[in-house]
Amino acid sequence: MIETYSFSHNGGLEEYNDEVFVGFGSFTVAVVVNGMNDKEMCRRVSLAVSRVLRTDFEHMSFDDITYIISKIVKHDDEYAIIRITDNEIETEQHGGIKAFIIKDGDIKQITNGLMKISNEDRIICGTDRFFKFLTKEAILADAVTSISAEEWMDFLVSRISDINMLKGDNLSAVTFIVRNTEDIRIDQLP
Amino acid sequence: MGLSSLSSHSKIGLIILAVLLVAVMIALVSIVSLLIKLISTSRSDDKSEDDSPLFADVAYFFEKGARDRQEDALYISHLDDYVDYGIIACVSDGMGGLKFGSDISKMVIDEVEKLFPMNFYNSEDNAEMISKISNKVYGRYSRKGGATLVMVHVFKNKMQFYSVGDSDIILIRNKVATVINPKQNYSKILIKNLTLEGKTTEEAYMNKKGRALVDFMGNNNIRVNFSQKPINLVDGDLIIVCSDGVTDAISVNSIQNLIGSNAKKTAENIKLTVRQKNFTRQDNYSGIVIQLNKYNY
Repeated sequence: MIETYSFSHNGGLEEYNDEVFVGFGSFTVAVVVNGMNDKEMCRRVSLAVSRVLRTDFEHMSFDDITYIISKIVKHDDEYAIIRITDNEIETEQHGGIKAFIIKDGDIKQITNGLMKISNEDRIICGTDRFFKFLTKEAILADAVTSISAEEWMDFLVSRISDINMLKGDNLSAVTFIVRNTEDIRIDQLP
Repeated sequence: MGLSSLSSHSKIGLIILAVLLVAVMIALVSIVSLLIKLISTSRSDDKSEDDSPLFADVAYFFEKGARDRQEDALYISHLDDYVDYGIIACVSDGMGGLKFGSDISKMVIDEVEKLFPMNFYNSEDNAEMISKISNKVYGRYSRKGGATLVMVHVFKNKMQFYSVGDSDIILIRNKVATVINPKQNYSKILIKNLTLEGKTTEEAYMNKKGRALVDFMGNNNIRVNFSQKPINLVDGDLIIVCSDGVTDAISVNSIQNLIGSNAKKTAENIKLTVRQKNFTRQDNYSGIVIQLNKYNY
């Protein structure tokens, strides 16, 4: 199971131009779009993503998903697509969208492609404006301290707030925690 | 001109030249293979050094500030136990203005000392034991006072950390300082509520109760924030465990400018910088500095 929490905030601006999409099924697919400087681009990517999420995306490979989206978006559009199962993550990041994985006490930036993941690994994907005020050590420490994907996001947002009171830019990110179902015990009532 | 047309002297000269060339080639190949061997040996040496424990240089400061009494308390485990059990560094800051602030911070530290040696990898149980200490304080003082707690456990190039209240654990890596523990202030709840409404968060900082603690040692059944998995430490990392009397006087962003060549100098720099600010309402300021290096300088 993948625990997920997404965060979208206008950052004190009139409009929120980014987008965060999360689709659930036998795997989780998330798309983060950086629309700050190009509202049209954001609409274009959103249209492409909505088209995918409306379809039976569960039976689509990552290549199929990225292919459909790539037919609509432009080469320099800023977005990231993530597909996660309990065992692996595939990402395709364009422009100022970054993703990090917290694994075995370290934080590493995720590069495009396929990567093995395991229970309790934590992943975050967001716009460059979201990460602007966060050190890698802050992301790592908050990941290992938090008890849920939501709390991890709360800790990070609180750090950004301490610097700029969430005034300035749109903020968009999504956090994931891998929770292997085998580790969840259900006690049978007598 | 063919070889047969050369004089016998010229032929001997050519043969000597060829032999010399072969000798030079053999020498070059030997030198290159020796260099490759040396580089690979040095790499494997590096790896073994990377696996070896970082040296921990530890120092502390413990200052009263402008307060009538010292309400901070601190504990550092014996450095002789570093290899077997790691180092535990803990600071507790008694809540100012409350009757039993100093008694409670001392009690917290005394009880933490009794927990040594702790199981490094079972941070959940350790957090539970800290929670029980808080219940014990609650039993004795019935919320007539309280204290914060910040604690790090460094072992085999890894760190676990524990936090209750709003004191600080700062990790300085590559000259960038980061407070790594979440704070349990009322302002954090306000920030969450404001963001859920899509608002900016000025209100959270203007609220007079914003800095009030929502959890502290001395409350019943507290939430202890702790690292569920250890984070890896690297050569040059510096950890500061301190009361908020330090970070209220010096901004976290400027604290890396105070790093000295060893823990003692860093601790001294921090202490003197706070003292020189000469704030009339300077809180007690105490801290433990742990400087981790590959080599024992």
